[in-house]
Amino acid sequence: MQKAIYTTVGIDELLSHVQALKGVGARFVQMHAERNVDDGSYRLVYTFINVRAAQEHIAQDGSYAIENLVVEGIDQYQEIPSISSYYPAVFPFENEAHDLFGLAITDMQIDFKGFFYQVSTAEPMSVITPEVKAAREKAMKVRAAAEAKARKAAAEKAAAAAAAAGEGVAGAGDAAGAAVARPAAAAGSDAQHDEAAAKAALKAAEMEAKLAAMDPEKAAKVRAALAAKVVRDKQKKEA
Amino acid sequence: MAYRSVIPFGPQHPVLPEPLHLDLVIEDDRVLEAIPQIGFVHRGLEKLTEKRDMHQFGYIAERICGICAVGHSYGYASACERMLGIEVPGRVQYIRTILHELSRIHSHLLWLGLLADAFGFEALFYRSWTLREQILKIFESTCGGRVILSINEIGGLKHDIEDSELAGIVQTLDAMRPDYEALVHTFLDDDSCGERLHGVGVISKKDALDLSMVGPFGRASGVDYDVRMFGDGAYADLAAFEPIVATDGDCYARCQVRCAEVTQAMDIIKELVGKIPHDGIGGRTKLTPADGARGEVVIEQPRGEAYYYVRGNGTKNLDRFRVRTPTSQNLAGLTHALQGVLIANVPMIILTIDPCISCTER
Repeated sequence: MQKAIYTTVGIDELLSHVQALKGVGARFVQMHAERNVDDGSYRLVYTFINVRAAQEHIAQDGSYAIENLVVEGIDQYQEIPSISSYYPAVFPFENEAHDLFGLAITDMQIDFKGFFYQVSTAEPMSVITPEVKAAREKAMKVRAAAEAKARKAAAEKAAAAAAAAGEGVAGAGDAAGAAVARPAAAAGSDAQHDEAAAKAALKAAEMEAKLAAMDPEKAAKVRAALAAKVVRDKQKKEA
Repeated sequence: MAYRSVIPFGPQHPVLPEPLHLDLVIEDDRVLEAIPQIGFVHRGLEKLTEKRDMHQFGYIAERICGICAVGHSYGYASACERMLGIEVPGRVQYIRTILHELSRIHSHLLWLGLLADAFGFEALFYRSWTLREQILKIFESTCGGRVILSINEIGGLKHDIEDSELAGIVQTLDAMRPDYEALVHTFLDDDSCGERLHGVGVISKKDALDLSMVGPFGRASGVDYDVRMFGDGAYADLAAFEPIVATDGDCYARCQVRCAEVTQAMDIIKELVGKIPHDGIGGRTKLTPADGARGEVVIEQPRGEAYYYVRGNGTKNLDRFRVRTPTSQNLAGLTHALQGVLIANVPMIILTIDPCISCTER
């Protein structure tokens, strides 16, 4: 059974990690780049397999690992050191990352200087199309709505539990008679207060879910309108 | 002092069915250095994940290459299943493995034919491809296509292959064996073949390891590495599996390894057909990958280890698909093997890495 291990490393630590893997006899599998649609940064994934360690693990528990070094948050013009001095087989992938993503990889053993691929569009894999951006935003909204729905369900559950607890306390107060009428009434008042607070929390969660699913600009306008309404209500009460 | 010059080799050359360019720096008739150049027909298939959803993309993944097509769809589907956390039934794993091993036989027979053609033994080329034709007929009768089978999907298979059909595959392979043994005898024992292959394009084991060489190209230099030995999927149920390794590291050793791997693949298929479970063939999953979910696998393609990586973004389209094919990994080994050889042997050496530019130009 294959397992994947992802270790996030900084650019300045990359070569030392690669050197350590080379030292233990890990074989180089591949390297590739990715573009983060949300913030536009780049990610590099270097993959290795330590065959000897894998065979030992298979003998023990039937599983083995593919080891990945992940460099996150790379800016397009940030210099990335080449690992070709440790693993010469990386040269097609580093040149590919340069030609297709526009990444600046330094000290490549075989450097095609941007002529490895004959591409009609410069750095084609770095382009984030409006369709991809829109699909991504939609997915994020759906996820936010799902999370809000889950929060709402949790709040409802909490409100129901609080109401049940309040009823229980009030019921106990009635059964105890007139001597304890005042504390029982106080308990009932607390329960009502809890219920109102739970309702308010629920309403706020619902509104938050609606806002999360909205277009950010529209959500900002709605928030401003709500804040203005709160101020107006407060002023009316005072008057 | 000898005159030094540069010969451009390819991208159009009789020995190359696909566009690969080499700048050969030569002194007299000896190659001092070779610099490969690809990228003439890059198709940008990895970028197509933006336009095709992960199920549609299975068809594109299968079309990365016309020889390892089954392997590509198998690797892609496995990576997606790992990303989604799907466990496919045993029968699915067995049928995928059987088709993958058949693909290995057809790929190696194709390569043997091309090798014979490269050193001018036309009759051997015809015989190799005649045998290969029987594998293509198996594909056609079981899946309806000779190259693109379209049987794999994420979560299972599109259709089953009946036990009677599987028994028929074993019968066909058994019937092929005498002819195949005669073919191997000619490749490995005939002087006209041996003289063109022995001692040509030698790579030592140390260099093969340093250059991360994969597949028969690496195993011919003594690299004891074949992904199948990790026992993934149906390979776990084999009674035994040992990578086929040779030590000479020359063109003859590469031929020797591929010849033995065909017989090994026939044995694997026979064993798996005898053990195949009847637990269903799964079906297309309705799951959508979570944002940031990743899946990766390595499989042993006919030309060597291939790597597949998928990353989800919460939509039906993948955020990233990556395939690293064996040829891209062996380019460094190719440039090394060409250093110091005679110009006359360059086509033979290029052929013995079994380059697949179609795979590399995905």
